[in-house]
Amino acid sequence: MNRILAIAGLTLRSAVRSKVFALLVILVMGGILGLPLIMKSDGTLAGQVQLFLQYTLGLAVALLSVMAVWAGAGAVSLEVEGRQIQLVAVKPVGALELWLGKWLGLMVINIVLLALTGAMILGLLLWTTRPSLLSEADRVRLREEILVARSDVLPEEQGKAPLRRERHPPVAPGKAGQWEFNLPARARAGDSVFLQFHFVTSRPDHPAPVAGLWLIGSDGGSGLLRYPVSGAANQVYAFKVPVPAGARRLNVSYLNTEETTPVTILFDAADSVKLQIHESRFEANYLRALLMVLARLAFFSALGLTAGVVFSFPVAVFVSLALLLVSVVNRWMQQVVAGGWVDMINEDSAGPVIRLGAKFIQVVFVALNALMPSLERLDPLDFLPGGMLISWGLVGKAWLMLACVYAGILALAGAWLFRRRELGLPAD
Amino acid sequence: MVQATAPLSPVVQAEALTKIFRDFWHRPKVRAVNGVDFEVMPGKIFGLLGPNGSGKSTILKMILGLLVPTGGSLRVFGLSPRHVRSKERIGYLPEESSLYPYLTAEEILYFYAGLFDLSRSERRARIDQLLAMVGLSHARRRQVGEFSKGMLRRIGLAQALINDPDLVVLDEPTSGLDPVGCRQVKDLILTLARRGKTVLLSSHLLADMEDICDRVAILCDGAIIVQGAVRDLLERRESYRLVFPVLAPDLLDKVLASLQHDTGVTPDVDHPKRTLEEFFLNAVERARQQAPTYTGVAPTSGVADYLFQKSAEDAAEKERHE
Ligand SMILES: Nc1ncnc2c1ncn2[C@@H]1O[C@H](COP(=O)(O)OP(=O)(O)O)[C@@H](O)[C@H]1O
Ligand SMILES: [Mg+2]
Repeated sequence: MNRILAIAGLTLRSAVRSKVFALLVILVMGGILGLPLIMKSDGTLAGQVQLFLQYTLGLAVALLSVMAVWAGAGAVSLEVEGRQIQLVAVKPVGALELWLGKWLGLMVINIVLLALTGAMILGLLLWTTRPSLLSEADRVRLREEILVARSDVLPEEQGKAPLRRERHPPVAPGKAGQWEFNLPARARAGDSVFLQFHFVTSRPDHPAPVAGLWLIGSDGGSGLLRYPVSGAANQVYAFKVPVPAGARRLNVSYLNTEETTPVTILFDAADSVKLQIHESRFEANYLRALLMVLARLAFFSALGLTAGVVFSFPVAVFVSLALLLVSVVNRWMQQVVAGGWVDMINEDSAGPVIRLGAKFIQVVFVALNALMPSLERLDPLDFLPGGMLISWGLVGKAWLMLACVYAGILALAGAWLFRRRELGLPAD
Repeated sequence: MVQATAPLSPVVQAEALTKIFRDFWHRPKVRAVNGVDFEVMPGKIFGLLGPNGSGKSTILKMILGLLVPTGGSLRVFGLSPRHVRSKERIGYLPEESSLYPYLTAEEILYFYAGLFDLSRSERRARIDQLLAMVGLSHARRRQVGEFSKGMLRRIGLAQALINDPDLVVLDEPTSGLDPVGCRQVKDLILTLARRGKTVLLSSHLLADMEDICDRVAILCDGAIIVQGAVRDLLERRESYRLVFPVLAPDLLDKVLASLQHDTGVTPDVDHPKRTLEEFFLNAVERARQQAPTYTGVAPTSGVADYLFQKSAEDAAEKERHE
């Protein structure tokens, strides 16, 4: 353990004292400060805040990821090149100890940088939405819809499992659609929940908007609540519904009241109609988002580190950045492969070489996809700007998968490869 | 004194040791070491001599596990050179100092000390003693990136001794050092050997090797061409040399006449010469006594205490046995 800590401390020092590193830090900070200036939002406050979160966090994650790979790739390869590693390798240090020490040092750097940028983004956000700038109503709305952590409750189908891919029957003019929701214990009486919906019409050329009436009853005994709405298709709407005391279930129906240009309405996505319930404060959710990012950085550092054990610095950076890209666009690659990459090529016009090339790329894609984790499934930016809950379970999953399983495999591979490397080769 | 019962086994044992460097396509490029046999016995100073590029550094790196032999066998403390247990007992000074330039002298030593199982206070104590020993106490907070070559050699030597090693491997230990530093390093090496440590060093500076080595192997193009005890190799057995104190001229004539009468040979007579090294060291010593300021390396303070501690323990141990 002593040895691991000694190596970690050294790795940290070398980063702190390197000029390139200071430059990168300034770049990240500058980028985050400068980005809001060039952002273009839809003009609404909510849109602005969402865009701010999406862009600044997105940029921070991208830059920190590249830095993690960069620093990781240099941690061993530059010392092999500069021969400093020789004096470490002749000391009684195991290969795994060396790898872990380096990784630990890189992780401290990751944590410091992430905490800095995270605090900066949050500070900027709170400062730009400070009370003196916004009306009380705006602030409350922001806190209820965006700067919050909410989870979705999907409707039941006649008390059975939640709807999955089944379509809700179309709602013809004058007719009604019905949904039933089980309220989780968390949505206690006195709280409000949000009903969110979006729809399409049976006629794409239908002139907006479409009028309708939502009726909401519950087993709590109080009467029906009525919410008239009017809006265009393909947009997301939400309104606040108070939860009656003692209510365990909500019965929701939608009446198609459009009379000027009657049209049938389709709620055909699994989440066309859903409830959103308050889970936690935004700040707690933000912290969980950063923890998920940290798990990702842990993986990237490990990736760079192991690449740097095998390759020289530039090659290691190139290889690990390429693999980073694979893990970021994993889902897209799967779609390309599933979408019949090879079949898309015209049999007659394409020669055998092109077909063979396409086949080769497909094999490479499948192999890389199988090897690399899919980070799209563990992206906190899918949740945070929408005010959606990032559960501890999701954070744990990210850490288990990225920082334990993948980093662990990379650690073993890195140690194994390090033992096989002839460190004395860069001649005096 | 207690006699060792078991015959001493060699600290380093090489048999038909060969190293071929290959290029990117794995084609043989250089046969740097070619079927070399030698043994380094404990407590001895063994020197590898040879012109540049004769394979000295390559042999040392194989002993340290930094290079993998292409052929032959190599044992260090009876183990494979890549074994972690043998590394605990080795100290290594590489030919080129490749230290972390952004660390200070003190931080470097603290880092390397951290790679051994030493307590924090023990580490501190050793670092203080080592820095004093190599004359860098006053530069302990300076980054090694700005050190001169000689200062780098000194800090390299200090790190090689941080673990109180049983085998000290020194690649060109005196290169880049001024004559004062050279003498100090040579004295240190002799002290280490007296302490029972084994020293394996390489050099092309023959005067240095002659002073200190018990045994040398002369390498040429990767092969050992001569090997043996320095005394045996250099002694001229066909003649004697007698040294007298200064004699009055008539007395000298009498001695010579008597010698010629008894043996029939006419001896050569001249004054024995001091070595240039001895002369230089005296001159510098006198100058320093007159103006005790220094810019580069400070006068050193003997040998680090902890390097002696174990020998004191050994002595106590021996007494108990007796
Ligand atoms: N990493 C290497 N790759 C290729 N050739 C090397 C390498 N290291 C050393 N050599 C060659 O091996 C020979 C012996 O080198 P070396 O052991 O460094 O010599 P010495 O230390 O005696 O000056 C030289 O010809 C040198 O060019
Ligand atoms: Mg050499």
